[in-house]
Amino acid sequence: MSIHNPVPEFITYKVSPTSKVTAKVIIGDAQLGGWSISLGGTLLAKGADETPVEVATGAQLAGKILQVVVTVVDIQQETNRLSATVTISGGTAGDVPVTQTYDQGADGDTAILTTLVLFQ
Amino acid sequence: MTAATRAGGLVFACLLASGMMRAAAAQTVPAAATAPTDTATKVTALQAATDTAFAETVQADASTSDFDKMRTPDSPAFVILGVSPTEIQRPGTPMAVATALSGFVSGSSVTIPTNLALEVAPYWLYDHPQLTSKAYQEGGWRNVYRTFTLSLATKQSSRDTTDMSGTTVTHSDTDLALGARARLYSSGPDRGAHCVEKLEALTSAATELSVTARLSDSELTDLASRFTVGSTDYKNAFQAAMAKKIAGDPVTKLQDAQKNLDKKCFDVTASAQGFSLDLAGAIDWTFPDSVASASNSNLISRAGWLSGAYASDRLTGILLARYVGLRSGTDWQQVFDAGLRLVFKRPTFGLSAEGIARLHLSGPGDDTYKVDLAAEYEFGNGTWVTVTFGRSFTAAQAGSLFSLANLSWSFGKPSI
Repeated sequence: MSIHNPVPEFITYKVSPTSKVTAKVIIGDAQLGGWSISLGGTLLAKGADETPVEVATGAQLAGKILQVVVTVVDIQQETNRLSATVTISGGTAGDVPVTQTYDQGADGDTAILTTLVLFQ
Repeated sequence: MTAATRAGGLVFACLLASGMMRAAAAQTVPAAATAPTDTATKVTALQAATDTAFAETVQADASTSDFDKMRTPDSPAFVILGVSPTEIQRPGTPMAVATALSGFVSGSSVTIPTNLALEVAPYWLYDHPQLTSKAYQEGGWRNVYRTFTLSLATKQSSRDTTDMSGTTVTHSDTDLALGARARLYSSGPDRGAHCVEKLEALTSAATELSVTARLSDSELTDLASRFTVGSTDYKNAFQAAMAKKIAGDPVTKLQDAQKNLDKKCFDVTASAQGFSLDLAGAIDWTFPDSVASASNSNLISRAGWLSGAYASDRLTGILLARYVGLRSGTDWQQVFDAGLRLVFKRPTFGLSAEGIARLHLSGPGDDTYKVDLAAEYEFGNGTWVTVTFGRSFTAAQAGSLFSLANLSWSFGKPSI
């Protein structure tokens, strides 16, 4: 039951001052886990479901980094693949999904999949 | 032995025995007085062994046990071949499947690998990042293809032939079996309080680790001061900083939650509360002298299973149908079984009833049936008394149903 910590994914996301930005996490491949969403180092929300989280307006976000940390645990006997999709919405680019997959693990392993979003 | 355990693995074990006995019978085939290279003779020898195995198979049911094994097998190819591999290859990517099947190719020719035990779930060879655990558990008809698996196995056996001069030659034959299985319907995993608690413990621990692993404002500021934000160096430094935080109590809690997790709480292919319906089939070819060619292959057995089950805290039931066909010369010996088992269980007593009807569709043997009833009661201090009676497949007269001669008592732990 090893814990893997791959290199984070990084994207930039353009927002307008009036943008209402949200973030949503989906833990895929029928695995289980939980996540945290932080603006800078400040925790905004944590959980395990797919409910979108309100981040802030574009005016409040420019130049800041959003950390989305997803801990995915292998519970399925059919696959050891661990994946998570973080979808950022509300900006000028609309919905931007970021999917990360870790498939080098063994039975029962855990992967901490991190997505970093720099707002512009 | 209770009715539950006695008739328990009836169909499964019957088929298991089929493969095992066929292998045993094939080991020594007496005095086929022809040249050992005569393919037709080899086939005849194997068919003789198959005939024997079939007769033994349909008689073996009365003494089999373990009802759980009566369900549709997970790996039908292994069952029809009568093998219990200790190591099963379960490739998770198309490339891994290709690697696993590479044993079938030797240079420019086709060969049959020895002791192959392979199980492939085609759906899971590819990513499904949008498939949540909840969606999988509530998958409905989509889970037919999500739970579809193929199994492939080979087995070697030897047989002796003696030619006109009395010289005995040992031949090494190979059996190749292909099986398929799918869960056609499932109410889903157990959603009782016990399971909800365990799953919540896991997701809660995973969430807390996600909180612990994130970097603080000062750590982010430090990284931004040393590297260009978003650069490879920045991401590597972020990863290294995060790795230092993945330790201690949150990790321990997550691992504890994993250890406590019960498979029935999330696995849609495991036994669950509610209804489930499973279908499987398998076929078995034999290759005399292990020569891999279409003209040298002989389809010698085939089988199919269909089982429907209902499970609740008090009542469980399984309805099962099974077909087995074994080739005998140019004909097939075919048997169809249909069975029902019901169990009512309370803390201090249990009742079980089961019946299996056997139809000989072709080949020797009469249609027959088997019935078992069992009751058990705890009369104190964890000591149970169990009473079992019924009729076996080989009962001489139909009137022997519930004969007192078949009444048995036992003391010990509950087994229903």
